[in-house]
Amino acid sequence: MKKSDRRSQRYSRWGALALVLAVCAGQQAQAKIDLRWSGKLQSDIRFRIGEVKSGDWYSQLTLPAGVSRNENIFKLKLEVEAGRFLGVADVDLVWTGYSAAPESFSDIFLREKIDPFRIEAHAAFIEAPDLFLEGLDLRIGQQVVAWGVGDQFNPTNTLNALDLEDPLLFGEQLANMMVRLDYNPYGDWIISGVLVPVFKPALLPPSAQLGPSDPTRLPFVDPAFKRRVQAEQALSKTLGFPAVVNSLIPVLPETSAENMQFSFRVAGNLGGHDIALNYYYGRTDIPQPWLNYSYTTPADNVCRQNADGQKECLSGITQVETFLGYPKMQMAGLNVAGEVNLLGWISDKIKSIGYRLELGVFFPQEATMVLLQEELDYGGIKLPAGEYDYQLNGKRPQVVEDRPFAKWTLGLDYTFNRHFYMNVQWVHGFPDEYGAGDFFHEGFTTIRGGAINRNAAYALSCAMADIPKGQKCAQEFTRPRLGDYLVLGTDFKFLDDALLIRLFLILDLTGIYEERWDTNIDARMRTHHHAFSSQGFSMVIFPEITYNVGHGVELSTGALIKLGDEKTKFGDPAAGGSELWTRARFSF
Amino acid sequence: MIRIASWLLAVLFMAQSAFAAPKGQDVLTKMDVALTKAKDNIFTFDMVIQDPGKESREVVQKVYTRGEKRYIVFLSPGDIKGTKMLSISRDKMYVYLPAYRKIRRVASHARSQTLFGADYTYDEMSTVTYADIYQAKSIKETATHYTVDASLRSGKEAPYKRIVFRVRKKEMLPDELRYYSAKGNHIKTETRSEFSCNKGACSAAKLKMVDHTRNDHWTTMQRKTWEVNTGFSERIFSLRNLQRGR
Repeated sequence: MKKSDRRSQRYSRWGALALVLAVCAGQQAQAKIDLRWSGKLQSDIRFRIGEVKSGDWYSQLTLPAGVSRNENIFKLKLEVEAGRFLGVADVDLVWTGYSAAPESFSDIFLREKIDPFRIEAHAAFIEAPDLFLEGLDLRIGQQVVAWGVGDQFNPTNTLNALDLEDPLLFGEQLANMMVRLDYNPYGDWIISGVLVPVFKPALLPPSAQLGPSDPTRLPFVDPAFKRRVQAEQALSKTLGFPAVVNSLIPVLPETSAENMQFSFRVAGNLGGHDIALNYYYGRTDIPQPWLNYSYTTPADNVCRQNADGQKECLSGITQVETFLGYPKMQMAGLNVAGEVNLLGWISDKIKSIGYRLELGVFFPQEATMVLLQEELDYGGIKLPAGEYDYQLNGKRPQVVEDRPFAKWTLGLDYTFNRHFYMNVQWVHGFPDEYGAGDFFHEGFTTIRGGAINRNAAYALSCAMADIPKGQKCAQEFTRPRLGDYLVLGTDFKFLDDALLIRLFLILDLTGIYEERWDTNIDARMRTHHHAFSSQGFSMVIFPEITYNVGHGVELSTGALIKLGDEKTKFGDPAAGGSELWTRARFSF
Repeated sequence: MIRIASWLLAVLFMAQSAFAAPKGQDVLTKMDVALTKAKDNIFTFDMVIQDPGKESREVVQKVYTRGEKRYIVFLSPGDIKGTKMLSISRDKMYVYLPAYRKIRRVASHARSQTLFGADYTYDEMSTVTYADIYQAKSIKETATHYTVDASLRSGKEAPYKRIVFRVRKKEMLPDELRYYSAKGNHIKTETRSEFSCNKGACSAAKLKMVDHTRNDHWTTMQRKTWEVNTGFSERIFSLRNLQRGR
């Protein structure tokens, strides 16, 4: 079937459904139409405190210091209610504040080049409650299904893709076209089913491209295979043909019935505790590599002096095109929230503490990677065109194991008085982390790799003669695939709640691991740089001051400070560096 | 003999009077009945939050009530527009904050907090009846009012150990509530005025809460509209409704 036929069939299906709803709505045609609207105008200016760089001198990507965001948003949300039916549209018009680089003189006559803008549709749906059956609600259209009791960290909330474009709006999700049914058979109990016809990937921050652009961040699960590729990369670099990831190409799953996502959920209240169980079938929205295509290009012997005072020359570049995919997964989730009187025995003034547990057990589809290459000519040393000889008993290297893994958020919160509120969470598995690897099952992700010695003979011996290859020369900085984080949020409110001072901290408890050959023990050794060591420390400090001027006007300022060595979670250039920000908002 | 008979008649009359005078607990019970007389209500209130000597802040809210259930939607200003609160019972409250797009249960540690800096706490907003949690200790009576001094029943949880109610005899509705802490400090005073009746149910059109611990900071709620016994759907008081349109 042609793509256009499929599309028209899909549209006709939606058309029929819309007709059914229109007929139902027609019955209410006499009902009063109630139009409600709200919106905001927001101006957001940010400054990156320092330049952020990634890659080597021949492949460097930079996020410059200075103005990093200059954005104005006009939001309009409309709710139209006719009888019991509701239509909601929530759209942002965003002026990005940066002119697109003119490619020709004629471009400076074009408003869309000089004053570019974009539209974000956060909602466009119809809601039909008690449809056909008392307690049965149907919602169709562009929407966000926000499940999960965790604060901003919601591992069980997988229906909508993450919207990580703006780090200050951490936890946001992209709206997607969905069909949602909720049935309320008794009391607080709600049974939900959601169908997502078309997959939408996560929207990543611009800084994210700085991560995978480093070719030494090998995604493979098998440590021995990783070492071998590290050694070969080191050799190609020594020979003057370093690898450079020149493009990252996401490939979305085909729009088909088998690629639809769906989810079920049962939620209610048991003994004063809110509880929910959910199941999701779909895909991870964080891209995973599945194909590398390599070829060499000449570089005319470009040379420079490196930091050690040695002359480094490029004979060429090993260009790598990486294709990214979104492997399938299933997830079973548990959410429990309530309060427990842990410290009430001390004094009756101490109230119950609120708790939240959100646990997602993921069942990932195994993902392997294909390494293809044109004939690679390293100045006489030639590697034949074709698929790489993995030497893995005929298998391709895994990038995601099919081993189940768990991510969770366990949080406590307490309001001390009218001025002070605190929220503490233990987060196991950051939203961008995927795959088994934690204290239940060993599994590491590579942050940085390479050879411990740049000597050509050494590199050649290590990559070609060592058994297993790379055993003695490969050096890696790694961390478990799923990290552990302490998240602390505090709110201080003054002046009748008009002044909010918020401090949000994320401390990476995982640290990093350094792995290399140790000549003293004649074996590879893994050293753990723990969370409070100079190498392993990594933290986000996010202070914010918001003053509510009144009449819907709020002025805010703050900082997003990312601390840590560049090999750590938040010191990583891909995290985007530290920023100062200011925001003015008028809500109406 | 006549003197003895007169004395006996006087004692009998006094005893009858004593039996006729309502007990404090009866007043609280009758007050609760009057407070929940309407099958349901839909109010719109203009809430004014005032820190003495400073600019006031206005919040418009629409309130649905039925029995002890309450559903409140905040309509303005824009920064809180769309915030919703559902109170199913005194210990079962939920709030929906549009900025987070999430429904949160209001835990007991937060129930003594106020929304948007007002003087009404979650606890106060969710408390509709009193006789079930407060025990009358004494009663005074004037031509127009009963004044009932009530203490928190043992085993019950509420932010105030003692409330002194002044109840209008006419509607059996309170027009003043004085709230006391466990230490006996007079913390807050709520006054209710401009009483009117609609379809047999009466309520105050103006409520004012003064917080004496905040330098007599006060909040008024002025009723702008009031519909009685509309028979709106019970689903208003459901989590389904709280998540509607979000």
